[in-house]
This record gives sequence, structure tokens and C-alpha cells, in this order.
Amino acid sequence: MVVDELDALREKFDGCDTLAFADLSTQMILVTNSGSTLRREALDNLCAEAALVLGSKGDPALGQNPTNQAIVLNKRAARIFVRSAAEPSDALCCICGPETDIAGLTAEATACLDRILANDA
Amino acid sequence: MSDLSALAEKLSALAGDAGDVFEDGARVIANGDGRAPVKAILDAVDDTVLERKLRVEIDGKRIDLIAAGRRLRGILTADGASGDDQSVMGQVLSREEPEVVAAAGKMINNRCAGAKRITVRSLPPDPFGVGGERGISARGLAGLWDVAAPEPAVAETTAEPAEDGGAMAQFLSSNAAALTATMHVNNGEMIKISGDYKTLQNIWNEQVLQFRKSHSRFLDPADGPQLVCLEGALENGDAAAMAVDGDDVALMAYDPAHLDQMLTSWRSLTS
Repeated sequence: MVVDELDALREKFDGCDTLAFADLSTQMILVTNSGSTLRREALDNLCAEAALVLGSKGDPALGQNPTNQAIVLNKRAARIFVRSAAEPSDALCCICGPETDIAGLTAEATACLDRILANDA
Repeated sequence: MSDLSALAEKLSALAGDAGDVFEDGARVIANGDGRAPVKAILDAVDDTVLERKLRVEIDGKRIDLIAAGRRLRGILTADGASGDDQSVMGQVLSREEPEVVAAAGKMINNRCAGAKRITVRSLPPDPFGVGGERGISARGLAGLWDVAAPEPAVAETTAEPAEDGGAMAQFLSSNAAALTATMHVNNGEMIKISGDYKTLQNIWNEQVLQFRKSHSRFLDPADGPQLVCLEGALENGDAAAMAVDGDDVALMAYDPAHLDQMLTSWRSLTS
């Protein structure tokens, strides 16, 4: 189950609040971790931000290539977006505290996304 | 002698060091004695308050600079200038035209390489550029050309903050080993460029404004400074990042192996 994967990943990282599996082509959040308290509007915004920073339809918003990994860090939070290389419309969005192990969470989120897609295939 | 010329000479004399050496009326600013020649020229610019033509002779070859307000407005003429050098002549230096600034720095640096004697003479100015174009401060050029900045007078240290100070400059400095290219812009004015900045300049010109506009709907002013990191965003495999702190914006290309270090640095400087 996707939610189990998301819950397991959230448990691994202190300060991790929300994990959301998204379809960038429709800009919809499909599943979140079970403890997420984000409202629908905030989830929609999270997905729209993912589509912007990762780039869509082969067009980067910033840079020469669309990226599969983007991080937005400020003093209150970090938002991490990872996209599947195999399924470019599938992405994982994470919200965590700024002191979270961001590089570690990013790597684990990529592996988590791969597992979700492998189990879904 | 006009009043302005007299005043300029008096100011120049007051700024001068008692140990200055003069040669045929020109002040010797470098003498093959290990003093950095480009810095010596920038020091001469930094000493120039009223508009003057600084006739710099590098081992007998002449470059005429127009300086005013402790800023270099541009290069008027240079002996033997050709090719790229010629394109710099008569151009007012502006941070918005980094190619011209870089070409001017390269020209002066090339001419100073291995120089045995450099002198400067302060002369009445020739017409140059448009009145409102001020050029770039000696200290700003020191940063752009990667030479040691002129030492500030004690009074200036508090009267005028360093152009490249602040959290953004500290971030760029402390992560220099990770950054392969940078552009630092403050309130629309280029503060510093480094590395192979051409790609960043294209991104800046074509994407940054639209990206910031689109991204702003997801940002809360209370969040404070933002760092956006995009892995693999550049064709050479480098990652791209944009940092925004008020009027300070930096665009960077970086080695993704240093991501964690950059995030830690940003947190410590902005939280």
C-alpha cells in the first residue's frame, strides 16, 4: 500500500510532517501519509509547486533541463520534490522542518518512489 | 588652471602618501616591488573624487582611464588596443554589462602582467559617456576582477557598507569550493560574477523573472530567505540553485556532491 510506504518513510525522519504521492500531469495529490493534516487547498498548492520547480512537459522553469529533484529551503520549513525517472508524471512531495536531514530524506524519498511504482506496475 | 582642476590637485595631494615617488610629474604606483599592479591602479581610482582622466603608463604603454567619485567610469584610450580591447574603449562600465566589465579587467590585467613600472598622472577629464552613468566603484571592481579591494579609510568603514557584504555574500564565499559559477545581484545591480557565468546569465535573462513570479504564490513572506536547489538542471551535469534574501538574489551552478554542506550553510546564515 502506498500509504504504508509513506508512513514508514515519515517515521524514519524527525521533523518530517507530510509526504504526498502526486500525479504531475493532472496536478493532483493521490495519497498522503496517514498523519498529514494538510487541507486540500494546501495539498493542491504543494502539487502545483512540484510541477513548477521540477518542470513539466520537458520544459524547465529554471535551468537547462527539467530536474528530478528539487529542494526549497527557508527558515521555517523545507519542501522536497522528487520525480520518477521512469514515470516523469509521478512525484513525491515532502514537507519537513528545516533541521531535518534533508539530503538523507531526499535520497530515501527517491527510493520510496521507486518502490511505490514497482509495486504498482 | 580652473577652480575644479586646482581642487582636484589639492584633493589628490591630500590623499597622497608622504612616501609617494614621482617621476616626471607622474606618481609611481608600482615598481616591480611585489605590489599588485591592478590593485595599485584601483587604488588610484579609489583616490579620485572629482572627475579626472587618469593617465596610467605601464612600462611606457599608456591607458587613459576616466574616474570620478572613486569609481572607474571607463577606459578612454589605450596604446596598441586591438580586437577585444578596442570594444571596451569609450564604454561606460556597468554591472548590467558584465562582458564589458570582464573585458576591461582582462585588458588591464594582461597589460599589468610582469609590469616593472606603473605610473599614474591625474589630468583634466575628456568628455566620456553620458553624465548619469557613474561607472563602478574601485572596491566593486576589485570584487569583480578578483583582486584585493582598496583599503577603506577609517571613516568610510562605517559611512558606506561594503558592496558585497551580507548573508548572501557570506553564503557564496563559504561555499565557493562547491560553486562552479555564480551571479550575485542586489536590487538589480550585479555585485559579483564568477566561473563560467554565461549559462547562468542566459537563465537569468530568460527565466528568473518568470520563475520568481510563478513561485511567489507558494511563498509566505514570514518564511524569510529562500534557497531553491535543482539537481541536474544544467547540461554539464551540474545542479542549479537560486537564493533570494530580500533584494539579494544569487544564481549558482554547483557540484551536487556538496548539497548537504550548502543546505547547512544556508540554514546557519538565515535562521
